[in-house]
Amino acid sequence: MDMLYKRFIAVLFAVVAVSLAVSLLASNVLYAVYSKPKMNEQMLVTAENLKDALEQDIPAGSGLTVAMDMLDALDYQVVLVSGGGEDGTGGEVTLTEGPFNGGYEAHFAGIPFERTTMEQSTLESVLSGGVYEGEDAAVANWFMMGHFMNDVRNTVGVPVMLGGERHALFIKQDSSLMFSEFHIILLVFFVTAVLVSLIFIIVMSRRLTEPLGRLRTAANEIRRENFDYDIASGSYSRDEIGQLAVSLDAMKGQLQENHRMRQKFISDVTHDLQSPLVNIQGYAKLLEDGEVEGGEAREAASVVHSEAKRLSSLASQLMLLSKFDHQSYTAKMEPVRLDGQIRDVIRVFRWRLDESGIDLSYSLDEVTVESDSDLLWNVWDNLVSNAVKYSSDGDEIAVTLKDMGDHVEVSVRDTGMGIPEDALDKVFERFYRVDAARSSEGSGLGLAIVLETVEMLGGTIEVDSTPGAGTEFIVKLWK
Amino acid sequence: MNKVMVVEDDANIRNLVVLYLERNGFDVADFGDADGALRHLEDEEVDIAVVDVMMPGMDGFELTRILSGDLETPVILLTAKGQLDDKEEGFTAGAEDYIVKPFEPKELLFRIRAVLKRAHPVSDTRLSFAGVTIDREHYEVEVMGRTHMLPVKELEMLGCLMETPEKVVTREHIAESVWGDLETSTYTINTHMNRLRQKLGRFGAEVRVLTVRGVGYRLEQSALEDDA
Repeated sequence: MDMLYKRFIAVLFAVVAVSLAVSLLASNVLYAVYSKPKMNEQMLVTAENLKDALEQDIPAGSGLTVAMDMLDALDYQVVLVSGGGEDGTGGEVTLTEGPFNGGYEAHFAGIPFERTTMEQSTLESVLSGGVYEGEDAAVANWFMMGHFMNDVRNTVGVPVMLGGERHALFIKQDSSLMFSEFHIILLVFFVTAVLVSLIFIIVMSRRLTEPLGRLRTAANEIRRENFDYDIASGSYSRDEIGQLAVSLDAMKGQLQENHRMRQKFISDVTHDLQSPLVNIQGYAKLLEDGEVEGGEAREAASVVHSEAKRLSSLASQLMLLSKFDHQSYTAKMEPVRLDGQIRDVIRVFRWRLDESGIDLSYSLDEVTVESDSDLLWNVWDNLVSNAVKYSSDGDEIAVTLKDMGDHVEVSVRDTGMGIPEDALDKVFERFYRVDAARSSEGSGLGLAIVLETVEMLGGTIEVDSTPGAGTEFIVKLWK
Repeated sequence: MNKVMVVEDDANIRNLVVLYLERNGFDVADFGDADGALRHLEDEEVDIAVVDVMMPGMDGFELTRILSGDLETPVILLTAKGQLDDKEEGFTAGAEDYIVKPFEPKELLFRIRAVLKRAHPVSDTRLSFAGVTIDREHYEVEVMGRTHMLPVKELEMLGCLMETPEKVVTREHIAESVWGDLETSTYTINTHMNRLRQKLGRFGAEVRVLTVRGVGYRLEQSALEDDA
């Protein structure tokens, strides 16, 4: 969670930083390519005007002082250099007020320059009639701030004739003026924008990640099976996170229901495991101790036998149910030759039919359905097994498969003991038994599984029964 | 006497199976694992093998592949798992039949007999006469589009009669081919024959079994009005 929060902030910081860098670069390019030459041109015009003014308006011989006073009154930084011409050694010279080395003489006006060093060649070229158009260094830096450099190189230079002597006039706009206005506004704009974005980023990140933290807490509570935890208590926005909270709440409800079902299931199963075990233990002990003999002993043994059968059927049914409950079992849909399958199931029962004297007949239309073969097998197995279980010597079981065009109907009808009317709608419930006596072998799960299976396969099942006359189950499956 | 080999690692189950099979007249050789069984087969032959799927060492499917493949011995698989899982693999391995644990010993007996019979099939498994068709492999009789399962004895009796329809079949022939015992009492044969008659009537079969006094029985086509 904190990770996400931090990463969120880091990413947004990076976004701000990158966008600042890109815009700075863009404006510098604009400055270098477009603004700088234009400004230089303007400065040059100004310098030429100044030159004309100086050459015409300053009376010859009135001296440099008048010129400097005039220049001082302007909003420009100016340096007027004269002399030189003796040793063209190249290299740099540092301009200072009054005469300085190399035979030059400089006079400053306006705000003083911070750096006063320039190429001697520049100086010489202007003194000999050339024009100097600002310093390339500022452009080479590609940095707007170069515009404000308080440097004699950052000037334009023109030759001026004053009192018959050649002078070089270097001039630049008073950058402190420009700087204070333009640059401070720009700086305030930048700093404010960045600060405000950062504050918003931090607040927004909190707002976005905080509900996730609450959801994590909720998930942990659910993991601990604390189903009383109220997920919806915190308010969530109506975006994806809100939807996640709603889903989580629904999941909690489902888990709670599953939990309840499982508890009930376990208590049912425990009961159904216990009672046969009690009987087996009790009767086996009787036999072991030799307390029963003859017919009684046989009866005791048969109780052990039938209770063991009940346990075994419970075990196999439970295994099947667990597959359904965990949703891990997905139906494998494939063409199933239904008549062949039902015939195979019936033939498995033939030894029990021989034993019990029950007549079984079948009539099966040749038909193929798209379904899950294994699951269907279990359905027929359960239905036929029930019919055999609740029929006795002389009863008849008829299995019929009819092709109805778009669907098929499978009927398993017996003339056995039947089901009382009030029990009819409960026979599909898990662990329901009509009465203990009639299903000593049953688990009470068979029909529940049949119903779940048939519904899973998109079919229906109906039951019709008359006590004492028999029962009929009809399964309908779509092709 | 038929020789049965039982391969099962659980001693209790193995003893139970051996006990039942010996009581029912089989010659049984039993083993706790596949290796012992295979060594036994190096110098002995068996008619059928009952093999547990889950065994330490070589499992039941593997043993089944060897038995049914190389040795042409029919195999019945015992499986503890549900029918959904093992059925297919069992048949792929070449098993003739499978039976899910826990099982009734009687059921195993029945399956063993059925498999042995299939291994030595009756000459004509299907016979038809007057709209009645019998399947001697599955003990079924089909009348008017409906198939009925008949008890083994009744179906075998009907089989005897249908081999030579409209001809007299002697009691002795029936006694020998159905019970394998010439001494079978007339009463027993009569009782089964009467049940067969009732059932044929109930099925709506257009045949009837006539008693030829002192000799035996004859199967005839019956007109509908004779049905009574």
